[in-house]
Amino acid sequence: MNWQTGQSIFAVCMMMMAAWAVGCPVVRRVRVLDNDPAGRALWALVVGGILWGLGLAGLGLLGLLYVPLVGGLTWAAFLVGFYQLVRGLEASPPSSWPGKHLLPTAGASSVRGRPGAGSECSAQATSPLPAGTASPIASEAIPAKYPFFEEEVPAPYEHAPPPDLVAPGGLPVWAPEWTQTPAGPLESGLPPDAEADDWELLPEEPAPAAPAPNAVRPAAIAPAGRPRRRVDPPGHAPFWQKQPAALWPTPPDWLAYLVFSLAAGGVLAALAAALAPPTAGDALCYHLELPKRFLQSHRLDYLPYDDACTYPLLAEMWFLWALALDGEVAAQLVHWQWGLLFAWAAVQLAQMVVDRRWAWLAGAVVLLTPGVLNEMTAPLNDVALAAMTTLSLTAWAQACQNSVGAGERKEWFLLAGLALGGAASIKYTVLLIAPCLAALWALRYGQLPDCRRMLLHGAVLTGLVALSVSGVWYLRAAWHRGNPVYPLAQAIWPSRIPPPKAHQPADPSPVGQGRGLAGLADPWSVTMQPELFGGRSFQLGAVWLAVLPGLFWTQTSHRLKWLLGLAGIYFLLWAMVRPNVRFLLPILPMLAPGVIWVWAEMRRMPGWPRTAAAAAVGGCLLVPVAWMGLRMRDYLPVALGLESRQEFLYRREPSYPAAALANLLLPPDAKILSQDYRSFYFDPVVVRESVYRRLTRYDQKVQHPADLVRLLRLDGFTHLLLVEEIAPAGLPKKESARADRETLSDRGNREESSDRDVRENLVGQDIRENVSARADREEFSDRGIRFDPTLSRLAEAALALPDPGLQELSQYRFTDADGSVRRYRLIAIH
Amino acid sequence: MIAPIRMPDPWAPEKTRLWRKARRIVAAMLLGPPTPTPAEPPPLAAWKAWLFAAWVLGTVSAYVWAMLAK
Repeated sequence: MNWQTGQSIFAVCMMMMAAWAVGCPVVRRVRVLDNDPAGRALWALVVGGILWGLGLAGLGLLGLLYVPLVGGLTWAAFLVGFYQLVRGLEASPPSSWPGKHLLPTAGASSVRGRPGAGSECSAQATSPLPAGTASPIASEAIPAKYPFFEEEVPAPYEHAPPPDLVAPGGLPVWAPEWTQTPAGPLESGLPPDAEADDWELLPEEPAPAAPAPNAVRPAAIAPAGRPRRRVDPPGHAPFWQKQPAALWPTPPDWLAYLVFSLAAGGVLAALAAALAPPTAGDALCYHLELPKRFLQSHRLDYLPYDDACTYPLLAEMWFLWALALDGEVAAQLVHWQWGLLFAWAAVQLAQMVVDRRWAWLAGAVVLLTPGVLNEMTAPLNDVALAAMTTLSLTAWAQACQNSVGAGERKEWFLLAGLALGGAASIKYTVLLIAPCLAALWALRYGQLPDCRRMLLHGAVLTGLVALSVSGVWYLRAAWHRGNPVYPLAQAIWPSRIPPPKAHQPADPSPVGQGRGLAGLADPWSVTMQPELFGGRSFQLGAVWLAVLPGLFWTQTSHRLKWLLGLAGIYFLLWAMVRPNVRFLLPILPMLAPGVIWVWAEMRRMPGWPRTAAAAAVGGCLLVPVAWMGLRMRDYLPVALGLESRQEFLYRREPSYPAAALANLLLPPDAKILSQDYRSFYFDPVVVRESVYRRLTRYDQKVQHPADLVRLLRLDGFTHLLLVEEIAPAGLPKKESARADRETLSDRGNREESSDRDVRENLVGQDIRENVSARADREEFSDRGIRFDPTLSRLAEAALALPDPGLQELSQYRFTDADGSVRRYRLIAIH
Repeated sequence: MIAPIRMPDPWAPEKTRLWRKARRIVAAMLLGPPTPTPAEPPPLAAWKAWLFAAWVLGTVSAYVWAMLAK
């Protein structure tokens, strides 16, 4: 691994630690997460990410986006977070670890091979042995060098953590104060928030069998004195313990090993791909281009020729952060890291339905979705959005439970608002999750007449928090465009600038064509023909379609049914509003518990059909890993430093040779009009020709080829980047070469008859409009790349003039990712 | 004759206390309390099991075919 790769990884680790350091003080005040260390760490990272994004946006609005300032703040937060983590681990008081109070427990802290050496409830276990004190058991036979005489001996556990490991609050970094002050309420016997009825004295003799998980919260700390254990009243247990009665045993080891190994393989392959410089079209168009421009100008500039500059840009703020610390690879790793958080959020949601071990399998299944793994390799925002929506749904569902108290309900609503605001700060498609939340809320509102007031207040609280978090982006859009959700909702808020055609209904949705019963086949179409729904790269894989029908013969819980119902609502909305398979990622955590449920119920199947189904599902899970492995082959050399990033980009990114040349030759104030929308690697300002044409209609003003140069010069353009398709995608090599020759021949003929070509270039308005509309749609459609030829034709006609005012600086051909061969030309305007 | 006490293999702890705590925290985060083993569920009817297996096999085969064919 070379220095650049290590630097990028370190930058992302710094960002994560800085986010955790900022999010932790907020999350530690949320008491509903006290007994869920995994959830608390996840929420700390997410809340920290949201706060960092808001902070960077604030700096951008103030014009303070300077790399040294961003780097200094990150270093400070990183050091604070690291200090908190190490200090919390090292200096955590003994009282925060139940094992410190007790001698080794039978479950986990026993001296290996010495039954009875550690019994949780034994009388002599009430205080740790002082250092050097002999053990009451065979002390004379054991040398004092063994460390388990100085403190408890954590024996390796196979399936479950010992109950004494789950401290209240889990990670003791932010342990409540009463656990940190020996002279505090702990000395008086009970923590301040404990009720006497919640605690019972432990028996003198070793405890009998392990207590039922729903009855005892093992995380509780026994107050000083005689050991006690916390007995939770019904309805107050942590939510993952309030499962329906145990339906299945723990997942078989082979299944856990298989699924986790596959997920780890997929994640590592995605990491290798993410360590290569980004080449994804949307990323180079605006996900990275906008942060780069903001960093260059030190503020959140309004870029009139970039439609995306007034979108919600929370994810882009994270990319800006990574660009300031390291570069585009770190930004790519940020989204890879969000893939992990997405799976983690899926685990949190699945814990409401299935046991925690099965819930981790659900997270792994989400991670093994081809679209998720593929998205993790590029700096996009769909995975981060899905993580946020999943967390908001989890918190919302928790808040709407019957058993939670008023305080807990308010905290869950607050968390739901934070996550929903984060999602609304990333992408407009958060609107698809809002009806799901509303449906759940309406159901509980009807079912819980006593809680209606609280539910109403909670919904208002969630909305206010979400608006507070995301409002800045919508206000910014309204300020610049006159439409807070530009380019959507033009009928309600007509914007001052015409929106791109891609956001106007053009093609009929491929979903449910024919309607009626045909709509039932939509999941099949989405699985088998993802190219109709935005592209194969983001496909969902077959495991969902193959396994979920098994729910018809299983006994399901109400929670699972409701989760699947919400998924159905989301799917219907998705089909009606924006049937792009990328936008289906938020549905996966709702479906994953169903998949896990069927897996668990498959043990009821007879041997042969179970083996056949399991083998098919295993093969299905193997597909994305194999796919990522194949993709990784191309990225691994650059990830390991065997190939330089520049060489990789010359090999993979069509716009990079032109960008490298432009960065070398052109002055910093140059302005390029480009047919290619991938502009991230250009240092000079690049304006997309399709947007420029839509906003200015410059092509209609060109009456003579010489007019083109004059018009462009008036608008400040100094250079053109022309892209012409020589051989379209999908042609075999022979046909591609023939098309290449024919194109060159055509070009020669055109040069001989420039007058005729000028007339052809200045085609009628109707054709131009059609072409413009198609170009706008296609650039965002993920159905392959096509560039509108208007500028190429006009420039070709101008070049044919005796004194064209244009000078070709460079040209090259490139075979793009979609297989088409294109010619790139960098042209100077004199 | 009393058999000599055989010393158990000493447990090999991590090198540092911090590392051990970190390991335990991660384990506690990943794993939850043990759940009791439920009673043996009733077996599924053979025709349902074969129907489901056929559906899974058919779907996966169609998916692989669709992906490889294009």
